[in-house]
Amino acid sequence: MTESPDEGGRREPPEPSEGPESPVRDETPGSADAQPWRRRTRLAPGVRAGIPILALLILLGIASLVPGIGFAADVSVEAAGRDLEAAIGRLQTGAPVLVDIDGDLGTYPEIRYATRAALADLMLRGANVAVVSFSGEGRAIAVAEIARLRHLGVGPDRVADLGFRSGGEPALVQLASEGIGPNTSGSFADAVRKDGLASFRLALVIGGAEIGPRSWVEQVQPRVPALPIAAITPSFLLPEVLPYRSSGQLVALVGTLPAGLAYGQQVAARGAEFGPGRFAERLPSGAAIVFGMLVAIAVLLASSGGSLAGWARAAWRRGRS
Amino acid sequence: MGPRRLEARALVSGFFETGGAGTVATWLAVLVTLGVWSYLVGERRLLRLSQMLLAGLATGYLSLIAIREVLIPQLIQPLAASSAHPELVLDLLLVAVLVAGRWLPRRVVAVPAAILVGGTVGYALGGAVTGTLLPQLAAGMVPRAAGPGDALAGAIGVAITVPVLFSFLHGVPRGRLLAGVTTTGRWLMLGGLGAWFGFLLLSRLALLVDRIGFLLGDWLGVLR
Repeated sequence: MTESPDEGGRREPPEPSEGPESPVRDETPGSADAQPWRRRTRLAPGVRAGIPILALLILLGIASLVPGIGFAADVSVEAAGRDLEAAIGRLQTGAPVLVDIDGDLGTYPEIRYATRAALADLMLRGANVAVVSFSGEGRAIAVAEIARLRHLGVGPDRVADLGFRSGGEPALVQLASEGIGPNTSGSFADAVRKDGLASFRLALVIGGAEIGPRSWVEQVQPRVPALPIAAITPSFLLPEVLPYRSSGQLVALVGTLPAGLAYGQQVAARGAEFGPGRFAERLPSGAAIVFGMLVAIAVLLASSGGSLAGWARAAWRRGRS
Repeated sequence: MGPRRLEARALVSGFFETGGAGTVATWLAVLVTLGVWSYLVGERRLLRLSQMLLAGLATGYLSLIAIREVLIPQLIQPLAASSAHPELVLDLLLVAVLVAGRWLPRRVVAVPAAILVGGTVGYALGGAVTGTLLPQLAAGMVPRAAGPGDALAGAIGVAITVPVLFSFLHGVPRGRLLAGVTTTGRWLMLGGLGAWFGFLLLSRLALLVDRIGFLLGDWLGVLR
C-alpha cells in the first residue's frame, strides 16, 4: 500500500539541487515519488548523474563479451552499403524502380551523397526510375535531382517525374491502391500504369521527418507486399527505422553519413558512370569533413563549457558549505 | 573564379549551373550562410533577415505548389472540363469552409476539420497496427535456434519495453515493486530520448560539415 508523505513524517522538503537530475516528477500523494522509502539514500548530484553513464558502460561491457554482438562500426557501415548494392544489383535491365524523394532540407545534406550514389547505381544497372514526392521540401529536392540527372544526359524514358502528391499518408495509400494515375505520360509511365505499384521491382525511399520508411512500411507494404522497400535516411530517423531493417521489412537501410560514403565508394569502385564525369568525382572532401567536425566539437565545447563550469562551481560550493 | 572551379562546383552541389547564374547562386548561398552564422558573434539583424527570407520563400514556394500541382490540376481543371465529378464540388465546398474558417461558426468549420483529422488518424492507426505493431511483435519473438546474442538482445528488449509501458500506468495504486518498475521505466524512456537526441545532433553536425565543405571547397576552392 502506498503511504502518504505526512503519515510517515519522514519526508523532507525537496532540495533545489535535485530538480535537474530527476525525471518527470509526480508529487501527488500516494505516487511513487512521494514515498519516503525512496528518500533514504542521499548521493551527491554528481554521483547520481554518473550512475546512468556507469550503468550504460557496464551494460556495453557485458554485451561486448556475448558472442554474436558486434560493435565494430566499420562492419555495420559496409554491411548497410552492401545491402543496398545487393538490392539494386538484383534488378534486371529496364526494371522499373519507384524512388520517393521526401528528404528535409535541413537533413538532406547528410544523405545527399548516398542518394546520388543510389541514383547512379540505378542508372548503371539500367533501371528505369519514377520519382514521386509527398512533401513540399521533398518535391524541391526531387526537382533539383531530376534536373541534375537531365543535365547529365538521362532522358525522360529513364527517369519519369510523377510529381507531388498532396495529403501525406492518405496520398501514399492512394498511390498504393490506384497506381501512378493518368497524369504522367511517356512509354515508361504507360508500362507501369497497368499493374499499379506491383509493376515496380523496388521502392527506394529517401526519407525525411514527414514521410519516410515508416510511412511506406505501414501504408504500402500491407497493400503491396511483393514490393521490396529500401531506404536512405538521415541519422535522426535511425531509432525509428532500424527495427524495420532487423525484421526484414526493409531490404536495405543506409542511415548515416559514413554508411553513405562507404556505399558511394562501393558504387564508384564499380565505375558507375553516367553522363559527363565519373561518380567518384563527387566524393565529399575528407578534409572538409574533418575540419567541419573539429568546428562542431569546438562549438559544442564552447556552448556547453560555460554551463558545465557553472554546475561544477555550484557543486563545489555546496560541498564546501 | 575560372571555368574549372565552376565545373567542379557543379559536380559537387549539383544545384548550381555553370556560368553567371551559378556564380550568383553560389554567392547568394555564401552570403546567407554567413548571415546566419553572424549570430555567433552577436549580430541579430542579418539572422533575422535570413529568417524572414526563408519564411517568405517557403510560404511562396508552398503556395505555388498547392496552386500549380494540387488545386488547379486536381480540382479546378476536372470541374471545368466536365460535370462528371460531383464529389469535387463537395471537396471544393469543404476547402472553402476551411479557408474561410475564421469568419464562420465553429460548428460549420468542425465538419471538414473532423473529416481531415479523422481520416488522417484512421490511416495512421490502421497502418501502425498492420505495418508496425504486428510485424514487430512477430520479429521480436526469439526463435529456438537463436544464438546467445539474439537471446540476450531479446531479453534486453523485454526488460526495457515492460518498465517503459508500466511507466504510463496512471491512476492505479502502486506498491513498492511497481513504483520501482515505473521509475525505472521513466529513466529508460529518458535514456531513449537522449539517444534519439544524439542521433539528431549527428544529423545537424553533418549539416554543419556540409556547409563548411561548401564554403571551403566549393566557394573558396581550398580543402579539396
